[in-house]
Amino acid sequence: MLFSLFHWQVNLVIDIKLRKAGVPNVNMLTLSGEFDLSDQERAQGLLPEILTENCNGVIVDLTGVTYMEEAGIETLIYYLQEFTRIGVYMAAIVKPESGLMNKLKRLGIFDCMGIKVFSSVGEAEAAIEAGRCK
Amino acid sequence: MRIRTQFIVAMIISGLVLLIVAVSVLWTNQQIERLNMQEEIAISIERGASELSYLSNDYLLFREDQQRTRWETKWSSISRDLAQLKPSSPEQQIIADNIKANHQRLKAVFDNVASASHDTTRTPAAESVQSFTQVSWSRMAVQNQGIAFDALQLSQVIRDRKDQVRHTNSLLIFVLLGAFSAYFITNYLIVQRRLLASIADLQAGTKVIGSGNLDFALEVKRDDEIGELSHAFNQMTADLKGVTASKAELEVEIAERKAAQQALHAEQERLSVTLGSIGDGVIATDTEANIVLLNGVAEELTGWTLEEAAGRPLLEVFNIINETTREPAEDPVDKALKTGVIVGLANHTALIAKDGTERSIADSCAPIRALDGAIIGAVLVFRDVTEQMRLEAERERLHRQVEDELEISNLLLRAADTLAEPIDLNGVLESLADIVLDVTGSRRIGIYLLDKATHELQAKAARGESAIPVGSKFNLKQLAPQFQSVVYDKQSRVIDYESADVAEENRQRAESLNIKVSLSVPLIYKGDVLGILALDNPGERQNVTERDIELVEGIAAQAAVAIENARLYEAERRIADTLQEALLTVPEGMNGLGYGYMYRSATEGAKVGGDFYDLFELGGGRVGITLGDVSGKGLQAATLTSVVRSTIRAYALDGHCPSKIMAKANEAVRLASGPASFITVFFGLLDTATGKLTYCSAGHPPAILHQAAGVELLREHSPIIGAFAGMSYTEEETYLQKGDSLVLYTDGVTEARHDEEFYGEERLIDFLTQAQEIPVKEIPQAIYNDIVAYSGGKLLDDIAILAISLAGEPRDRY
Repeated sequence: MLFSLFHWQVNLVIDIKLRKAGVPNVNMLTLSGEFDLSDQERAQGLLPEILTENCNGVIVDLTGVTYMEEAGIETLIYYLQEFTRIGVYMAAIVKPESGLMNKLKRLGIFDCMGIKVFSSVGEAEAAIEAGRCK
Repeated sequence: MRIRTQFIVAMIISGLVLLIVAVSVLWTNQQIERLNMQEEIAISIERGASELSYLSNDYLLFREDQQRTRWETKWSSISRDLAQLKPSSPEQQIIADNIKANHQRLKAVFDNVASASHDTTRTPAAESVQSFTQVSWSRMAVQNQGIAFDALQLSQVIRDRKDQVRHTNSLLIFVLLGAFSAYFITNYLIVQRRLLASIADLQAGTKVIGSGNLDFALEVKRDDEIGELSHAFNQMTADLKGVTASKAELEVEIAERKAAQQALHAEQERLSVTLGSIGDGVIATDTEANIVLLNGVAEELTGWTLEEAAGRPLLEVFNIINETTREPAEDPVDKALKTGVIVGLANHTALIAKDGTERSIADSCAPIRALDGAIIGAVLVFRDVTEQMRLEAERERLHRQVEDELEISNLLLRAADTLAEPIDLNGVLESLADIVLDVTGSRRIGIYLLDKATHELQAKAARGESAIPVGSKFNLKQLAPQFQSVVYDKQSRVIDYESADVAEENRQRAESLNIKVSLSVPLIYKGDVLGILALDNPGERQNVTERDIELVEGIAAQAAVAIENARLYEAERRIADTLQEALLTVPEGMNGLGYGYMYRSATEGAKVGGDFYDLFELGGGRVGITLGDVSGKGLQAATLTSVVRSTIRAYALDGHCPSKIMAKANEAVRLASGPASFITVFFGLLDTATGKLTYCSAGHPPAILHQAAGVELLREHSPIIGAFAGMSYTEEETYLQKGDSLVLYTDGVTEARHDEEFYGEERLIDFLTQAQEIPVKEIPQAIYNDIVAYSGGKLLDDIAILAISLAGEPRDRY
């Protein structure tokens, strides 16, 4: 019970949802809220759930993230490293002109790995269907 | 004349006729009877006269007294007959008078004869006697014949009279009957004709009205019953017309009544079905609280059938008691009937069925009111809540259990939060003492850590009354065995120092410390006892519950982790601090360069963070400038800092350009770091002679070049270091003039927050624009002060700031 309550409290900081995307064999990971050190372990632990069987692509929706500190960046890097290792492509959705977008641009994470960044789910799904994310 | 009157008159006349006939017959019979008697008398007289004739002759012949007596007797008999003779007509009177006269003369003759016979003195001659006798015989024969003749004539007259009376009477009867018959027949014919005519009129009128012509009216011709009947018929027609006029309304009303009746029937059916199928028990009573109805559920719950219960007092069937007191419960029906309001059953009411089965029940009783509001009974609705009550009790028990667990969990969570805040050992121990004092309510707390080598317990934190001084040491082996067992058996113990189990020496020691009952809980981490948490209420026999033990053990378990972490952290921090101090060391002064720097960790009391800076001379007036931010904290961050710092220094000293140096640093750090760790770094080579700055910014916030002409952000888009292999880096160059200041910072500056708003680059630029007079050495502290003011002192990330300016005028760059 103590563990549950602890987790519940953490959930107030970051909300993580995983579902099927509108594109076959693509999962969608949605992060909302503030991502800090306390969320890192749980978020990284979700990797087996994200990479389901037949999953060949993941859309990471970051439009609901209001703040992401180093732990969040480390998690994104971790996802990228793992996706790259097993050949799953990734698309990111980030609110344009947001602080997070500026930070991610500065860090160059997506650029150096050739990750496509979109501003909406529909845009990302359309790009995936068109084969522009592989 | 009215028919009824006519009928009465006819009856009267008939009666009179019959009466007259009867009287006439009676009178005639009387007359005939009387005449018959007179006739018999006459005949008797006639016979008597004949007999007297014989007797006269006999006497005349023998002159004996016997004959005389017989003659006189007979004569007297005729006299009596004569006396009875009642002549009814003059003719009869004459004849009767003749008979009477002859009778008297006969007597006189006989008496004369008789007297002559008895007179001895007179002796008549024989001739005389014979003559006398012949004369007398003749005279008496004449008289007797005269009587007989008259009597015969009288009887004939009487017979004639009888015939006359009979004839007259017959004639009278005939006449009367004839007259009556004529009257009756005539009257009958008249009445019949009138009645038939009237009935024919009525029949015709009925047909007309029957055809629907309600405007037809019979002509009232007579003022008798027929007339009245015609009048009534006309009235009936008028009424029928009125009734027929409202036929439609009547049909509608009938239809409505039928519909209402059907609806009522359906409602009754529905109510019956509802009552039968309702899940609650229902009992209805009259105003005397006698049962009139039970539904199926009520039968099942009470054990009484409707046939058995009907008419019985409610409480005989509905036997309820208070489950707690076992006393009879208040009669809800009686209360509802008296108060006229709905009455709910009291809590914990049990129904005892006929077979003794007891069930918890609930619900209510309501009075039944008639349309006029009068109470006509009560209805009791109840249901079996035995299972519900059991579940409720179980739910309450579980709820209490969950609440207890939740409370304990919350307290433990609070304890966890509180214990997580301090990272140093003393802070953890002090927090632990505060927590235990707060959540247990104990008045004395002592936390002792164990030195395994010496078996000594040292008081590290204490709270409450007469607390044992911090720093006090006790040899574990000299303490009470019960206390020792907490360490050696690794189990919590409630020690009653007043019990016989405690040795006198230990009891005295406890008394000196005013300990009565204490709870001692081991602080265990991975099987090792780190110390003991002891609590008691000085001078009081504290009641220690299982819940208290569970709670304190929970806190102790977390505290043990925190204590161990604090110990490890202290050890790591000592190393990291040492390393960090070494890494953050910059020269006191450098030729041709003015600078200021500062570092603040977001973690209070610890220097260990991920931010770093470095300034080093490369010879020839060149200076290496590094400012970076390592992801993560602690020893690992310090290690990576050391790696990147050393790598940059090494390759810089080896003469490489910034982009090349960063590529080398990327590979070095990637090999040294764990997965996903990364570093953002600004590295620049400044030629103090020319002011030329060649720099590479690997994912780092842009440096700010503050010049007299304005502020320039040195954006350079190289990727972060350490995360990905084979990254290529670029570099840019710019020039500093005397008076210009180059400000490097980590994202702890721009991401400092006031509520949800970040400090940001623009605010930093504005600050620097307004702070042109601040010496370069003081710029970092000034920026920091502004950030602290902005954020209210709540910094979430480490901050490193480095400000640099040229000490002198650079020579011509060309």
